[in-house]
Amino acid sequence: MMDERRQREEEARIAAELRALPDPPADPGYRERLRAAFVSGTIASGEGAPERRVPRVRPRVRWAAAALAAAVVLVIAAGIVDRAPRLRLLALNGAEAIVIDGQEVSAHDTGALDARLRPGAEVRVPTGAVLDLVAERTAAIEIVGGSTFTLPALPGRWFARSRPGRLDAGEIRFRSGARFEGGRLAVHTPDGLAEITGTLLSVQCDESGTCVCVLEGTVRVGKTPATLEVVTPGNRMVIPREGEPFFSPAAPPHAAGVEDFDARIREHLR
Amino acid sequence: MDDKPSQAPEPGERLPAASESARRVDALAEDRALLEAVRRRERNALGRFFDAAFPYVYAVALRVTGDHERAEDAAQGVFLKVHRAADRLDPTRSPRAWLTTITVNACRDAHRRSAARPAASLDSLAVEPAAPGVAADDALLGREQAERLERALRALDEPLRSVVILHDYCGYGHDTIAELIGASHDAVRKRYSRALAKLRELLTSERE
Repeated sequence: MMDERRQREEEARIAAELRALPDPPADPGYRERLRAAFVSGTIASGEGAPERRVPRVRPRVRWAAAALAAAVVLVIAAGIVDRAPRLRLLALNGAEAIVIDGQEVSAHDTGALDARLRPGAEVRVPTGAVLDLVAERTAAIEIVGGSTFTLPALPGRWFARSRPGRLDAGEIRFRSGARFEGGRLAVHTPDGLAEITGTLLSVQCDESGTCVCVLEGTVRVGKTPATLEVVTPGNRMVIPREGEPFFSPAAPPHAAGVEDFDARIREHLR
Repeated sequence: MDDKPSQAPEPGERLPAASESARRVDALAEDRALLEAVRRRERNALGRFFDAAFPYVYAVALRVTGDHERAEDAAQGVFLKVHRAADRLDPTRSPRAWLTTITVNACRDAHRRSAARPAASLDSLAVEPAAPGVAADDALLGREQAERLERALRALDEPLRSVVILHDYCGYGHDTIAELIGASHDAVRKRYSRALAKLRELLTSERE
């Protein structure tokens, strides 16, 4: 009996609360458009029916969209900040033109040269010439005459820390800068690959095989990624096209070329 | 739907109007000259009529439909019908019953039109804080308490919600509600009783 009375009292209280509920607010823009259409009479002609506001987006969807947008912005920002500077033309000596992606580009048109020396571009430097490329504080590469080299992108600050390049023939010399630290550049040749983790070296490649000459730092070299071995400063690894790889002291002519390159390029890497 | 204003229920049947917006609509009946001008569709009079009627129409529509989009559809339908039937408005009576009838019917139309559309977020029905200077009785409900009640209302089935809104928010008796929604007196009484019991149950379970 008491319970029933209590229920009735509770329901009476609810009814009183319902009577006292405040009026919910309408969208002011919608209200104004409806008022204008009603007062002008266009509501009856169907011409001025107020345009409905954009349907409300559920808060969960709104939050998810905001989180997604924030993630996209973060990824884009990280991608921009992460991107390493690209290799740019520093000097081309001893040639009137070089071939980039099968097309001859004049040595005098430095703008076109620089624009076409992009990651992934295959560069052929004629015998007797030298092409120097540098990426600010990151790395410098010299492509010696008679070489065919596919330019690598340089490793990013945090992501894409390993980048590939390809030497099909000739010789390249490499010097890393401070921003290269922790990055990896894999130079593939027909005979194997050299995984560069920050050093001074040269990679030569001809019909007899590949030779990686290391002057500073350490480089891992091998026929396949599974068989890489460390080459220490002052040494080289030779990968014959026919036969097994072997170590030997760095060849003096190669070492001299690398030292000369290092002396010329060092100031541009600071 | 019949949108003739002359079919309004007798004012004597309703309970004392509780909401401020309902009282503002009732106050229109005291300005006969204004209602006459509305009959002639004079722009200034239509503007004043809209200002007095819109908060009530929208509040009823929103509470019956439980959804801003449907409430806007319904309110638009109501003012379209008011404009079309303005010349038949009885200036001697409050237009509130008429407005309520067409609002409830417009809510049904809006509901049918958007049956396949999910309702908007419940958060969009958050209760506004009471305006400064509102009488103590009107401001009796705390914001939190009012939000709990709004949530419970939305959890009711539409037929129960309509009856309880018409009874307690609009202040109509069972007979008038029966006439407004086209149901029997007994059905309205039972629905109202079930609605209150359900609200009590929902509010109790939320408190626990």
